[in-house]
Amino acid sequence: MDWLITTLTDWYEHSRWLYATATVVSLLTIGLLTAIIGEWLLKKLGRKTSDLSHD
Amino acid sequence: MYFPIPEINLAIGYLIAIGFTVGVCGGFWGMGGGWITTPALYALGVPMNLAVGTSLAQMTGQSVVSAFWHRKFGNISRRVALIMIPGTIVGVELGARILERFKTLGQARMDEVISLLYIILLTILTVYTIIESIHSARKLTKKRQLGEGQETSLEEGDQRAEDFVSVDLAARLSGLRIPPMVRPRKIRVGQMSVWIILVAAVSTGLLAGLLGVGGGFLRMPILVYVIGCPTHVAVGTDLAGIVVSGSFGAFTHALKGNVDLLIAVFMLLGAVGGAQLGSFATRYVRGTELRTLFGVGMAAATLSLVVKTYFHMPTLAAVLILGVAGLLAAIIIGLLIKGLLAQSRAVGT
Repeated sequence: MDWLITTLTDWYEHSRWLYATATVVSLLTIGLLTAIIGEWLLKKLGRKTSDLSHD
Repeated sequence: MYFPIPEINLAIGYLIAIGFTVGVCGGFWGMGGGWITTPALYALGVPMNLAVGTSLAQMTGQSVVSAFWHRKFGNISRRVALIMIPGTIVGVELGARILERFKTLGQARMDEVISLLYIILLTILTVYTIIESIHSARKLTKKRQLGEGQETSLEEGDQRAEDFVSVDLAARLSGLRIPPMVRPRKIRVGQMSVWIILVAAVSTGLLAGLLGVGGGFLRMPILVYVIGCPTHVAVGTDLAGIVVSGSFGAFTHALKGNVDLLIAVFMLLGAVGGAQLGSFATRYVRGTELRTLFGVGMAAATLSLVVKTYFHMPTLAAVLILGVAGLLAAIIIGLLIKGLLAQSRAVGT
């Protein structure tokens, strides 16, 4: 964690383009990944629900 | 935890809780929630320009999640979104440049100018949305009693079909035949001039860049009242626009040193879960209900800013905005649970 904070602070102070790119890429990636995981979880849940209804 | 860029200590749990609340509201109303996060961060001691940029960055990730689900629900008008995106980008850049000019006024004066602009906009939106949506809800009830109302035509429990706008500016604007005209399938009025959509996009983008919001709190009502989108389509289309405008805004604000990525990521961790719940909840409420709750949220945001700016009580302002946002998030989750239960009962019978 300390390494991450130091790196980001260094980019913020000395390499704004890198910092700005990392900002957009990381936030978009987190958003998209969690949406895909959410969809996958929902499918899993749906399958379990239908399994129960068969019982 | 110590954040070296704004040079303050913030509790991570608090940031995640703010993110979750904003995520629920954002997914439900089609916005990034900058009107909650910007004052909340400012009240915690984050300087206004960093609060503005960080809010914009956080909402970019959050909007990806919400837009993902709204696309699956068929709530995105691609044509309107595609026209709005370039206009929004131009507007956001203009807004960010104006914010840079404000920096020369000094931090205190800049905060004052941005807060005043915020208060004026929020007041207009609050009054208009609440009055219009209550009026529409009454008219819709009368129509239903007379047997003229639209019946729920989607799956049981899904109330998106029941939407009504009493003051329809879009119907009048669609009569302005300024070429080129577009005919998006999902708008109420059939056709609209590209120029009207572009002017709406540049105006909301400019305010978004200036105020550090995705523009959702402005664009959602404009999509309903000016462009003629049904409320749920306005929510989805707005979110699709925020993904692009928010990304551009986050990049340009980060270049100018207005973003703390770590704060944005911690808030996003809470927001991604909330955004999915908020997006799902839109399937179980009427357009008029959605707009009334939106008006209540805007009223709280306005009051919070007045308390902070003119009574100099930032803690009370933060408590107020977060309290009301938390309450609204609880109501939204309640509506989602109620809708799911109604749906499961309908499936069971």
